[in-house]
Amino acid sequence: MKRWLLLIGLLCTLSSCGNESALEPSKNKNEALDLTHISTKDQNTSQQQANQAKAALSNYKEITAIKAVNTSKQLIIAVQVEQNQRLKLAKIRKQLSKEMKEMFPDLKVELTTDKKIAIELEKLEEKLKSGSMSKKSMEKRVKKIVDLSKEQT
Amino acid sequence: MLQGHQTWVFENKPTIISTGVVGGPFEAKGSIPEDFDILHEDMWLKQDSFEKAQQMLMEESCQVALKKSSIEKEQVQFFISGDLINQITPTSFTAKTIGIPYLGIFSACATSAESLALSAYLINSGGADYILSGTSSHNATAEKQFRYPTEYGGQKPPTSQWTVTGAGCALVAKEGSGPVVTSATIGKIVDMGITDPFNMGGAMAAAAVNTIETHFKDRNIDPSYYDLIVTGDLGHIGREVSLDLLKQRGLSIREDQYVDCGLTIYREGQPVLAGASGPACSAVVTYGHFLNKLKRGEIKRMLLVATGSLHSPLSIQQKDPIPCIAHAVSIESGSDAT
Amino acid sequence: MADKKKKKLPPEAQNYQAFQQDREVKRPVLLNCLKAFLVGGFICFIGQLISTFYVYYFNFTEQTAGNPTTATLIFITMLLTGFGIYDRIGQFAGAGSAVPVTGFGNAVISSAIEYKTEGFILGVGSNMLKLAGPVIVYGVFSAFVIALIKTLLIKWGVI
Repeated sequence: MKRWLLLIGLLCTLSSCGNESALEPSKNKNEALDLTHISTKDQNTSQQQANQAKAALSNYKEITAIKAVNTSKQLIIAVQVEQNQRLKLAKIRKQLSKEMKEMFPDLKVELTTDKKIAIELEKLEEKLKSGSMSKKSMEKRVKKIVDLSKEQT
Repeated sequence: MLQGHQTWVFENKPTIISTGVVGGPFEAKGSIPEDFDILHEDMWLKQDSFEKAQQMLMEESCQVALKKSSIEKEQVQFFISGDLINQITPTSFTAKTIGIPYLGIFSACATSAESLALSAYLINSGGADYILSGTSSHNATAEKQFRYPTEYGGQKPPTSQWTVTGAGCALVAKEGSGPVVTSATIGKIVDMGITDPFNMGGAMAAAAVNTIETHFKDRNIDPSYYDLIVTGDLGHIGREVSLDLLKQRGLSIREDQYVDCGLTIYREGQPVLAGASGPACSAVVTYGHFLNKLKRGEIKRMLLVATGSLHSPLSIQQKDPIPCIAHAVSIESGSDAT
Repeated sequence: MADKKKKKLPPEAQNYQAFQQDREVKRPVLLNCLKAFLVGGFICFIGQLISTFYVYYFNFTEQTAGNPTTATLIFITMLLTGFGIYDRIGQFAGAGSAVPVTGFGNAVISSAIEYKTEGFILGVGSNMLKLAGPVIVYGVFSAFVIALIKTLLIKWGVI
């Protein structure tokens, strides 16, 4: 009996300590990924950094959708993670957030896994794609979304 | 009179000349609805509180019992009754309403047998001509007093029992036609150290066995003397335990001779778990169902053994064991009935 | 503990208890666990639906949707308790309907209904938390103890 308990305890510790980094980037591109590259005619609302972030993140197999928008100062990213990977959600978020911050040192990077932010960003992306958005109103929207993501219970 | 150590034999034949049996909605769906005089559709009986509803049940059963006999309220000397709630207030308020000199008693679910035994004794010794004896209980008031709020979604174990909503009342007279109370055995407290208030049947079985054994020893008769031995509210577990224990003690009681009020009143499939309980359980089933059987001549002699667990919510929380009691009263069909 | 208590009893009572226990119907623990798992899971499923609804149609994030979801579930519990359905679910599901927030709501609401006949101050007011009170007391107390342990561990540099 005692031996069994020890064994189970050992397995638990091993499995929880085993993967120090929650995610590993894979070589082959993820095909079922939900993302759109946005090209805007207006230079002021360029989504270059957001597209870079999407390209970098799309190397992770576990990510199912990426929504990202950037202004000249800020970059906000929402990722959706595969259902059974959600057990490690906090770890994944931490790792990806760190990675993105290193990738864009001169931007304020905000990475979240929240569904609501993904929905809001998707709407914003649609608008940007149709080119009907001025720089000012985009910045306003982004600020609103960032505030929402920081709201706590 | 006194025979043996704790048994009275009534040679003057105190007679139950009429009964009043009232029930609630859950009892109406049970297996013996035709044995009730009044059945209510509403748990509240249109009153402000469940306690008032219980009082109403008791009042109605007294009125029915009086109405069915030709006796006026003023002719009745005493009202001997009790119930479970706090300081037996529903019964005391009933006594106020009907205005008959009142003796309040308490022995939980054994109250029905205790009041019947006392009434028979008083009548037998010439202390009174007519006595109303009865008891009442209400599912919601008992739940509130002893368990949880009615609508609380706690899971009850399969040993727990369902308190009967109802009231049963018997008018005992010096003379008249009807079933005769022939003897009574007053039980003593039996405490087997059981502390689980959700297994009262198991706790009370020991008391029932003790009283039944004493009754047969004191009266020097055999169990086959009775057509039925009716226990109060032992439920499935208590019935099995007591029957096995009686067999172990060498009393030969047949399976079909040993019935329980708590298993008679409800149908299979009603969510009552181990069976029914409550003071009204034995009162309602005996005064309704079994006395009707006596009157129809289906049975001739029965022994009512009402069992009670005399704990309080306080004693349970202070981890005291449940003191149990059982009183036995034998009822036989009168000379003019077949 | 129980054995210690039993030893004080006279042998007659011990024999009787053993005799009685042989005939006692036991709680079907495994079946109850399964029912609790299914019903509890179903309640959580409804909670998830409500939460998702709030995320999609209102201005709540996954984080902030928790509060309105809880409130909605308690509101539903209130109706079920008042109509006398929740206690039946409870008898069937046991812990499955007691552990989610709906169980806590039911404990408060059922007490409030029960003691209404004794007035609003001394009846409802003082008895409303009769069943739920211990949850609050020991919830707060154990949170305090855990926080204390954590503080000490951090101070000593263990974590």
